[in-house]
Amino acid sequence: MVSSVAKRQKEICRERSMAKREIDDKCSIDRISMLPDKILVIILSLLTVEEATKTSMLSHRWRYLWTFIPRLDFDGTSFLWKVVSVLKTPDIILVIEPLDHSVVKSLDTGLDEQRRNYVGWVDKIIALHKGSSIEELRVFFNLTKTHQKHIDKWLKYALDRNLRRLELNLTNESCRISRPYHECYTFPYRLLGDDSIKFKSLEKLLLHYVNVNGETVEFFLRNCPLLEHVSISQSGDLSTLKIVGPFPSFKRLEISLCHQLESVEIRDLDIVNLKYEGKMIHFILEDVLSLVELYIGGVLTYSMETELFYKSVKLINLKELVLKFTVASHDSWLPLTNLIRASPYLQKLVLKPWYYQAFGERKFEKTERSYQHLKEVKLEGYTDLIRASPYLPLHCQPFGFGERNFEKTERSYQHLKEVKSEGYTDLIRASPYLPLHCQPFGFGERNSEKTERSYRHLKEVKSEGYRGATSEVELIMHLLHCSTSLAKILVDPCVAEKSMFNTKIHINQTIKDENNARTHANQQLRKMMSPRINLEIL
Amino acid sequence: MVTTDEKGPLTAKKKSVIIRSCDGDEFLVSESAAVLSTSLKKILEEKEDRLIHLSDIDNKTLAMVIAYLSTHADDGLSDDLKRSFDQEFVSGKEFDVLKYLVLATDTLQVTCLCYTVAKKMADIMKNKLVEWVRREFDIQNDYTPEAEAEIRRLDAWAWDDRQLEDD
Repeated sequence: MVSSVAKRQKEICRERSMAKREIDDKCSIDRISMLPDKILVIILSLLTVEEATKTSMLSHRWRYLWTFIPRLDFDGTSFLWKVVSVLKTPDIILVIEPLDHSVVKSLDTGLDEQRRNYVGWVDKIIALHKGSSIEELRVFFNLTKTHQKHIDKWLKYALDRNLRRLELNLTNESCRISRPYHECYTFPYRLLGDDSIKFKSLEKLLLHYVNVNGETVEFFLRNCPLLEHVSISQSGDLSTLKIVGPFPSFKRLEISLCHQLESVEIRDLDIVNLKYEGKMIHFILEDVLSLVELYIGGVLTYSMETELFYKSVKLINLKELVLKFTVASHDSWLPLTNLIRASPYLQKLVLKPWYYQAFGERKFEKTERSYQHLKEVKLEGYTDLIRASPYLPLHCQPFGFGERNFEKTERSYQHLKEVKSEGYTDLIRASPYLPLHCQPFGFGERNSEKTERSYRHLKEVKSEGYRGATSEVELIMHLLHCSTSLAKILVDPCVAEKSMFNTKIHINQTIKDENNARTHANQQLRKMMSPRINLEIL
Repeated sequence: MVTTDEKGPLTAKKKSVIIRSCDGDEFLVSESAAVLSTSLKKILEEKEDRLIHLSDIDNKTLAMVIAYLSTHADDGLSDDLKRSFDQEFVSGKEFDVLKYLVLATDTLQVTCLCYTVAKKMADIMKNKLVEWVRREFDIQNDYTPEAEAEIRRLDAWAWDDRQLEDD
């Protein structure tokens, strides 16, 4: 029961709110302008600077509202579009085909002009900006060391205002040639000397195409207690990086394509997300027990994996593993399982191979020869060699997966039975693909106990850039066999190299390869799937 | 104001709060949900009364905010689920509804909802011509044609020939 006073209050309120609604309907007051400035500024700060400044045109009230936005997103996409607009098909400018000389020239002049426009634009905005604190500064445009002074100034402006997120991506988009390090912008090291107070609020630091050294990264981590995310890419100054914790806030580290890098040492960190892509380096990873997502990419992913594995790194919390690696089509992928094994709770595995040799030129004879050779050795009992060539039987695949092949696999099956009876269980475990070959002959069950234990939690495997190569099929089969909870295999034949324009780069040969891969996946992979697996082919 | 009749069940359910909208309707909210709003938290800390009267938030808006708070106070839901709830929450809502929502989040100081709604409003404004925004949002153009031309001239660097969709 509500007292009469409360009842009366209720009525008054209802009348008031109805009256308010009526006024709204009658006068159609500015629907958005009735919001307080504070909220309008929040809305504006969620737009890019380019979009936010346009609102000064709306009315007097809006004229200078944007100058208070705390988030400065200098997104230069539209400037980049203007550069490539001289091309007939701007969205696929990066296609490898050579361009006409005059087109190249107009691209270059266009880029120079847009660089001037962009720099002038950012300078002006910063001169007009009035906000007392800056949450985020994002610079996304193709700039080089020529613009050092301007960028230094922008950085200083933002850092003096309690900057929280810094994203400096001086991308190479719309350029056809890669930018050498000595032409890249270099992080203004002297800024660090000034006083470290101004970095106190920094939470995110992203520097792409910016020369920055390891000491600077370490400086930031030591001086920014809130720093959570560090991403360094294309830095020519980074040669060694040593991050030894604890840094409780630090959760995410990405290092990619720093070709001068020689060693990375990561210890005692609570990072959850780690990405490394680049050349083979001396890599120490210790006591990173919170790691949930790991991305390793580069030419020598294998060696790196092996190195990590043999140092018996345990990644007890790892749930997602992405492996990007460059291989020849005949390389076995089974060494990749080392890292999978080191991660007992892995749930998702993504494979991103990059083949450095075209698929049309697979050398059949060569594989046959090596197969025969290995068979001989095998009979001599060189178990190490068998372990080193676990892909063996599947190499027959190029000769057709049908009957002719069975003879061969059968032979290897018989051989293995022998080995097994001799008690070489290690060998069988080391060549885990084996049971799967034998499975049609009813060999599977006995073995399964052992292998099953390997990937108990793996639920999803994604194979990007799938080509239907022996090595791919083999690894997928292996995973299928060794995991109990695998539910989904996603096969995506597209090579996902995306440019800013968000279009996939296609070359005719690639399209042909992709179609072949799809056919292959449909014909071969489907056959091997058990009903519990959802095989999806994109 | 709450009568003694109501106090009985209220003290029994100590963990609940009653929030009354400006339309007079009352909503029973768990305390864990209510304290996600900084303003409500402060009110609850200051007074014993478990009835909070919000004189500038209407029924419809308040119901939405409470749905949001209750979802975010639910420990049983994963962060992913909460994120997708947020997406659902703002999608397809009329601009007017969003406006009252964002005002309410400001009053109640629910920062994360404020940003979710503001982001949605910003997305609506994205890539639109000035004329479109004025029309759609009923913004009175109080510039004289001369003043407008002058601003366009002054701000040419922000304008030039951007391609915009006018739909």
